[in-house]
Amino acid sequence: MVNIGLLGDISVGKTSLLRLFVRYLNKGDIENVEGGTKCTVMKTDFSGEATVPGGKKEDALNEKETKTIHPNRIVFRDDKTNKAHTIFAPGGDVGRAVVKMGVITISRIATQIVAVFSMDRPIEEQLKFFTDVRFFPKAIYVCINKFDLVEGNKADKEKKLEAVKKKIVDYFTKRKIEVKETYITCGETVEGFADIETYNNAVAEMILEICTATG
Amino acid sequence: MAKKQKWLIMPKVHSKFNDQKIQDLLIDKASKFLSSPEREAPSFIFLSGQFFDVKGFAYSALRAWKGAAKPTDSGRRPLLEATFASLSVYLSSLLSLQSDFYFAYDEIKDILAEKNREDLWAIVEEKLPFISLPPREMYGSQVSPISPYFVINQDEDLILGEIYPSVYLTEIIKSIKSRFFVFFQHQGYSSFGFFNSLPGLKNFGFEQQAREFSSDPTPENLLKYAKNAKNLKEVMIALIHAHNNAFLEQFLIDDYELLLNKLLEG
Repeated sequence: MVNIGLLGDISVGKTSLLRLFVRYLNKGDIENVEGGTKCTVMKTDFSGEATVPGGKKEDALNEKETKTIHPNRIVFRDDKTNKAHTIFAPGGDVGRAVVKMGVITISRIATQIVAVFSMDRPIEEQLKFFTDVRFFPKAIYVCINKFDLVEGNKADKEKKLEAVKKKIVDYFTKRKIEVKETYITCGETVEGFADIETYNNAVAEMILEICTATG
Repeated sequence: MAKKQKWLIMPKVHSKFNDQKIQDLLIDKASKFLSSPEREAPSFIFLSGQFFDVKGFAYSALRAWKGAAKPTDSGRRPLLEATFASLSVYLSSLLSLQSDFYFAYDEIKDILAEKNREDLWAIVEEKLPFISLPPREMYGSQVSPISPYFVINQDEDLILGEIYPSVYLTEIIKSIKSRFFVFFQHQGYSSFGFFNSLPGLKNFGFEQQAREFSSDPTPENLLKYAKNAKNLKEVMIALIHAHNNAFLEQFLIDDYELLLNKLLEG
């Protein structure tokens, strides 16, 4: 059994990653990604979400802006190995006691940590979240999410991505934490982004890889 | 008393509609399942709620606690209910994690049984009720009030525990001496129950699959479901649906976090 904790600052897309993964499991798409295998959802819990009145998403996509209070979680079983795995996604607002409690608890009980970042805003401010999180394992995974929001041509995007990767790796290296692997993802189904399937698939591939490598 | 008001927010009316028949039936059913020929049911409060905005918690409740004030009582503050409602928010976070690990324990049990190592399972099982929690130093200058319970019984979706009388929590909330509680998870929703003494366990529904409520969510259908409830789990499923469909009066704690912050101050 692998317990994965998705940790990161507010609005980096942790809950979206989790929801997308559940969608892949429910629709059977999980078998079609690289390294895919049949998995069964055993339990999902998104009751830790609070709807924020007047959130930004409300008009655009008919979705409501939400904020995670309690850690969201899913438990799924890899049907081939018959092993159950749990993914936790606590909130990012560590200024609030209940949310911080979830982050502390998950950072302690997760056997694998995925540090989640968003490409839509400066990485420095997102790294502050990790300054407060203690008891990290010595090696973690990094997920750079919302890649669809990077502007520019392909070369520009690559350049921006490499700069972000370097900052993240430097940050963790200074703290003697190895970054085992970096995944580039998009946790939402975005219209008009040509490579959306690739980056959506990357979410499922990331979770399966971590479970396979460490389970 | 004025000092306490600063960190314990009293519930206020959030939704007035109340189906008295549903309320009475659910309280009656809960009382029945919590009593035995030898003893009457303990005092209890059952709650089911959801977040409303980021610091608010709106809930419906079934109340049968002797001497405790209701939020609608005039002249008396519902201290016990306000405490339980706030407590339920942060206890539920820990308890749902506890519930997830039930899957792991089951797997460990199977693996050890397969290898004829029941002796090792006996060691693991003995430790199960003791919750692993972050140590005090993880909170810096704060203290952890969040290890206040012991798990008495647990299955996939229901946990029965006791809030210890000795923990830090009780230094802040004097009225919590020793309280027994149940926490039930169903389709991503949850319900809490608090008791003033330990009831008999045979009607809780441990290790029993509760019936789903899959009819149209009308008061009539919910009454029909609740009338046939065969254990406490099914009463809590009915309460969850009653809350989600606003069939019972709802109350709102504007800021459940004030109590937790007070506890964390140490």
